[in-house]
Amino acid sequence: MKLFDLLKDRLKEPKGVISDKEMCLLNRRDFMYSETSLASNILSMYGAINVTYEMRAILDFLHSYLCKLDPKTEVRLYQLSQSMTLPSLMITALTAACAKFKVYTPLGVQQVVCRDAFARDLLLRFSDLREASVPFDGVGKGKNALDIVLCNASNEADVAVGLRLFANVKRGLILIKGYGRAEAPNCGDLILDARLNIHCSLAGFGFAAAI
Amino acid sequence: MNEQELKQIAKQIDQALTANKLGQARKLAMTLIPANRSAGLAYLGLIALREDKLDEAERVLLEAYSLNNSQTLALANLIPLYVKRRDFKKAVAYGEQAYARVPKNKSIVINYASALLQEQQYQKVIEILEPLFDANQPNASILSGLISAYRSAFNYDKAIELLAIADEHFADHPDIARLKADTFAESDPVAALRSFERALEIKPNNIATRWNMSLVQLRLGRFKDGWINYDNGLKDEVGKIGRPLPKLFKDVPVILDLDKLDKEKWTFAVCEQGIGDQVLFLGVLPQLHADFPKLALICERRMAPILGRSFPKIPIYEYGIGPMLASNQIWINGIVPIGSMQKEYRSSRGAYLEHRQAYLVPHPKKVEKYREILLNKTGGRKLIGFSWKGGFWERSQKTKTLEIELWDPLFAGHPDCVFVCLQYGDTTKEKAYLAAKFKNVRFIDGIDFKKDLDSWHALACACDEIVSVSTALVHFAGASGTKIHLLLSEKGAPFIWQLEGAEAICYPNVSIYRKQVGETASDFFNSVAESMRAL
Repeated sequence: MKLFDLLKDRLKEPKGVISDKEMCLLNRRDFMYSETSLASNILSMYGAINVTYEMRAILDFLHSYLCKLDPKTEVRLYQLSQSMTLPSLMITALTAACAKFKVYTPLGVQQVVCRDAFARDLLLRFSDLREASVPFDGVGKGKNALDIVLCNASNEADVAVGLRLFANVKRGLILIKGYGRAEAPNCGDLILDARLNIHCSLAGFGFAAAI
Repeated sequence: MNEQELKQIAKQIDQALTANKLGQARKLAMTLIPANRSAGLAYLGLIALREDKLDEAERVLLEAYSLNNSQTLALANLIPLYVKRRDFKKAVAYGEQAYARVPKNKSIVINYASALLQEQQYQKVIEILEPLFDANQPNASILSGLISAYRSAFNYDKAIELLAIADEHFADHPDIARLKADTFAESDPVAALRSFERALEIKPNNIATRWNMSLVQLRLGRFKDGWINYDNGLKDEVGKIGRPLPKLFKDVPVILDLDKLDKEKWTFAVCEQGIGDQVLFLGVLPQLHADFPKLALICERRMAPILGRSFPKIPIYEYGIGPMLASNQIWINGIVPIGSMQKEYRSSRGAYLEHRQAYLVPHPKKVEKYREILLNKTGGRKLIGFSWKGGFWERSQKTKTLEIELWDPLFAGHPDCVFVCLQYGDTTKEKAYLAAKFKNVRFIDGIDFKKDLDSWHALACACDEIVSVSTALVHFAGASGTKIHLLLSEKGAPFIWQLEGAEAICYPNVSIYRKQVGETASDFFNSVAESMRAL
């Protein structure tokens, strides 16, 4: 149950409500559920419209990050957690026009349900592009390269790999799902060692950028 | 530089501009900048505008205006800039300010009026153009603005009077020929078509003329040429009264010629225009799908449940998919606006008649539930849905709507039937009027007819018959096979109902009742009531 469902009878005409099981914001505008949102379309393609607010926000954030991407860019995507399959799929869809695109999925990907034949075709293209082993020595190399690291704070080891990869990134982003969860493992030392400030969004994911 | 010198430079710039020596004008404007940056930039903006460098013009004109908001030159040129950009709201905003400052400046007034016309503020156009109009020595732009405004405000007599003046002074002006055609488009489409042809002889590539002409050609049943010209509505020159596509598809190839589609790649049919037109256009979707199996459909979210059910084999997406299509052209053809599919599959009256069948599927459980509730609650013999108001644009609303006070013979003539209101929008006034007069009229609370289209559609399909003016309801219910009595006013009607005939060419169960010029509303509604009773 969403927090808002518990509160709504006590509120007088609330507007712009954002709510899930963990938080409830009033009088905020939220564009992520709109029919002009790419995130919404990706979620419905894969029968995932009931994902957490955080996942929806991750997809929307990544779209914002990539919406002005130069097609000459060489994009390398490191998906270090199976739970980041939907964001990887969306990035694949958005970067298809790029000169070079690679996606590394050392821990494999989640099973997704394709709602239709078009969704299946995109998944197939994603599968064709996937590589299992991550070439650590290539990270950050290339004049027009953009490295995107996606991981999950569910275990410290995965975040450690992500941070190690991100250490060599010249231009790109690390995004950590579940970073704001109360019981998430504390990666503080690792982050301080890497001299990063991971911004923790209200939706729960953390991120830092290399520019 | 003293004021005298500044004025001298400004004079020289004006002379260079008159002689169209833009390079020289630019050099002079640059010399003005150190002494009066705002004025110098305003001139540079004007030069950029002349050169069609719209980005540059916008940048410098806005800077000039922000430095000195009493800079009339910048303000005046922001109006045509935004007219060229088809951003009429901004053009009107700057036009308002410029007009308030110099109401007698012909160029400002003409540009402001052209923006107002696009924003459908016809009375305002008349108000600002009339003082500048001289019947003996008319200005073509002022005259054409006035004709457009009077015609759009349904003052045909005045429009025709001005057209006579225009004919006398500007017989070979393409805009005047087009306006003549527009004025007669509804009352005499054959004459209108001749005027359009004349306008195209004078200026063959006039996009706006071809777009307006397409609607007349379609009304006359000349579908082949009409649908070809209809594609002109997608061009920027026509603006938002044409067929503007959502900006989300900005970088996606728009395919108008189906022969150019690669069958191995995905194609996205994109819904466009009002929801009624969307339903009409989607009648060809099964044929397109048979020809191009890798077909997906993009539609509004409120339409998705109905279209998903009606076309279960076609993937349905929302407009937000746009950015993804732009970056996947290796395996995606692009988008086909659904209006542009018609020329391939509905190029003749015969093609319509051949495919006159139901293709929308209402929510079956909702239909059953609504029908049961309404019949049980009212004890009526038959449910008749009704709707009296239609159209999105003000002009089209005036053409389509038949005020509810005229409908009395229908409600009174069928005491054993229950009339269910299917009218969207605010119906408070009509509800009060009908509740006081009739016991067999029901208004449904709890369904937002504009947002919850699935329920509204089901409610319409729960009715045995529908009596309505030309509005989206007729398309939704008609495409679902419901029996419809369509009432058309004498002021004109959308092309699909054609100029004559008692049956619609596109849907199987639509009877058309056409109010004749000179026929009283009471006679018309009495005859409709009688015909309906006879069924």
